Amino acid sequence: MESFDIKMAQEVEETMKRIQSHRGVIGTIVVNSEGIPIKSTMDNATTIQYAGLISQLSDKARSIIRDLDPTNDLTFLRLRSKKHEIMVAPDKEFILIVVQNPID
Amino acid sequence: MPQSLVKKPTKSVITLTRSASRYGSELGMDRGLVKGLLKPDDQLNLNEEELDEDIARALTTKNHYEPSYIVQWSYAAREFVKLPDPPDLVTTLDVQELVLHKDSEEAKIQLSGGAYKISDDDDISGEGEGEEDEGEEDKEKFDEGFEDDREEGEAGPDEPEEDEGEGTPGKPKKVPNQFNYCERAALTYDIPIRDMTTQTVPPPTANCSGQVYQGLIYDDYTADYNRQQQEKEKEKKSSQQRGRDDPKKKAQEENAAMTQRMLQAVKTLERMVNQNIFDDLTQDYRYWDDPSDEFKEGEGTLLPLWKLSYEKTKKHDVTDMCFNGRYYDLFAVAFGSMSFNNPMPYGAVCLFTLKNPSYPEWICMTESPVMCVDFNPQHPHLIVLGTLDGSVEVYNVQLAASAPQYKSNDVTQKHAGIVWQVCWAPETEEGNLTFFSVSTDGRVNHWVLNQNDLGCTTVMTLLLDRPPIPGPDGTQMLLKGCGTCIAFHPQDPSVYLVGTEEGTIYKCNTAYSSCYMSTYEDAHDMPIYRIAFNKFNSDIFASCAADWRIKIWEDGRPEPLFMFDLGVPIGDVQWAPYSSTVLACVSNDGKVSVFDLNIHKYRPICSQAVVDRKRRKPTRLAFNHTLPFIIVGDDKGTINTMKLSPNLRQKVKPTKKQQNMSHDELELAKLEKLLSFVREPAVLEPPTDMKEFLKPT
Repeated sequence: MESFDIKMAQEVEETMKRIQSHRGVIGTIVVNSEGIPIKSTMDNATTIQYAGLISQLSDKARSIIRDLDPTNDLTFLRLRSKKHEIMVAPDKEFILIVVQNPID
Repeated sequence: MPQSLVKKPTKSVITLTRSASRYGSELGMDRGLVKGLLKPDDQLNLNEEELDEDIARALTTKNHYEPSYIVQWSYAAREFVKLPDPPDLVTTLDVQELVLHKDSEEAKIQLSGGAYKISDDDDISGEGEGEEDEGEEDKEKFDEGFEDDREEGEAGPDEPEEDEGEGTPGKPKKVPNQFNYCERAALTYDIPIRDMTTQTVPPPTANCSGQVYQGLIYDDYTADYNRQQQEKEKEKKSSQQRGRDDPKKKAQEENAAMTQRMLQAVKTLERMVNQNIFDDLTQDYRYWDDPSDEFKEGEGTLLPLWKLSYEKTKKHDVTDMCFNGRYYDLFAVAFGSMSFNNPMPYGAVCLFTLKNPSYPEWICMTESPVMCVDFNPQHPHLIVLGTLDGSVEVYNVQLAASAPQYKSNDVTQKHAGIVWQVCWAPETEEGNLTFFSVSTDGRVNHWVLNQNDLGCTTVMTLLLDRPPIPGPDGTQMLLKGCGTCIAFHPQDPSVYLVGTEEGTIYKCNTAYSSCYMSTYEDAHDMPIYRIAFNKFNSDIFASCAADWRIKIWEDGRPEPLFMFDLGVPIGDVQWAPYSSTVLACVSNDGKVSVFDLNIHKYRPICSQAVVDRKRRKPTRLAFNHTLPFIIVGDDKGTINTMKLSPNLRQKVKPTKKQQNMSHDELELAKLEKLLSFVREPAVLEPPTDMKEFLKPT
């Protein structure tokens, strides 16, 4: 059981690494439940900015979804901008953020 | 008896009414309507004098109300008997007095003082007093003079006191008064009331505020419901298990659940990233149809999409591919080795999904190169694989690929040669899953997934129809064919076809292990790589072999209906799932050829090089069940995805007569029509009217 957990954690790590190596990916950030970035491939200031803003946004987005239908829930969030695409996986215990430049 | 005068009662009544009327007028209720007195009508009218008149009433000794003649029925005498008159005496008041007449004996004794004390002391002086008081009282009684109240109060608080002042001071005799007692009250010190206050440290306070959303309320209700359900379950289980909810373990479980969720999220993110990278391909995959097909009659093209590969299997051959039954874009790929002189030291099975073309969804590394793989159609999470060293393994792809769920025993069960194909079969009557495997050791094995192990029975040994050859030490050895492929009849799960390296196709039945149902002798001249049943008509099947040929057979007909010679060995042939007349094959020259027998009977409608001819050669091919694309595996561990252009997937246009037929029926009719041109009757039979002439006379 425990080894399975470790294996799963390793798989998460590997996948994160793979994502970072994909074409056009600018950075990945992992934010914990308190909104503190615990892992990032971007520089400090950008990371903090992303973490703060995205966690606010995902909270708001979730509350919108829940208000529309309480049985529903937010699972992913994709923001397409002129320069980037920000992909957010919000969970109650963490938020994963991937920033990608899709036109490469 | 003394007489008393009583005023007439009427007077008082009148006074009362008068005052009442006065009272009314004071309140302004007298409005001139009611003047004078309100009297009952029958009241006697009396003037002032009469009203003031005194009426005398006399009390007599005679009781007027006394019944005079009282009788009672006597049952004994049977007559009324007179009872005695009741007595005249009526006691109206009976008060016992304590006043003594001055001349009475008792008074005299009292007045004289002396002797009285002895007789009536207790009665007079103290009813509730104790013995100790008596002495004092005695002394007091004999004291001269009347002591001061206060003095006595100091001397004895409980002592009865004389306060009437009736006694005659200065007289030698003291008359003890039987009422001689008094109440004494003592005033104690007041307990002063004092207010005491202390100031404590104020209890800590905090401001709480929060917003409640609909969603939160729903969550809480759900959580509460779940808790209740759990408690119910616990109550059921409580007798069996205890102490399971160890906090440490619980935290660990939560952590694991979080990791699981994180893994899911990361995987989805990877898919998103890939979707962005391969945006154009994804669009083409779903929506692009080659517009030039409209102008090309009977020709189509293949649009190359993703190329999927896995880093660790880049040197392996793709030996088999199988689409999942539930998720149409998920497929398993077996990585093995076709070069048998120096095979790869390990193999792998990977599950790829087109949603993430950059990395396999599930990876299973095996000790031996994997030669074949098959998804269970009913249980899409189970795959079975056969390896180069002859063993078969069953994996559950929902679990991590650390160990197989089932593995054939390396000593007693496994095949003695390469397992070339595995194929899931219907469940047994007990509900156990089963599959078949065919191997170069000439055996077809039937495996049953028991509780803990695999059960194995050999359902067929592919003995060649040749005389036994002399073995060592004078023994005779029967020659066995080397099975390379197996195909189960889609309608009848007990019937199957086995192709061999010798080029023979055997039609067998699982019920008989000793003989073949029929044999297609010399179906091919070299090893057969694949036998595939038509998806619509299960009497039709295709086979391909290393002898460059594809042959299309009809069940029970020893000669093939169609034969195509491509000039190069053909690795795989598959029927299209959407059309009864379309089949595709991969050949060693790097080409994929697609035939539509309905359009061209002799040449492919598409023959396109999909891989670099010099460096790679395609090995296997598979049609997707849902979308019009194929996957082609090559010998460098790459899977090429290709979309079929509209001309390669033409549907039958129903004629007016066929309007109400389903797609399947139309496809069947199309194939049947085609076959009717090709079929040659097995024996030429003259028409019936000719028989007359041919009869020997």
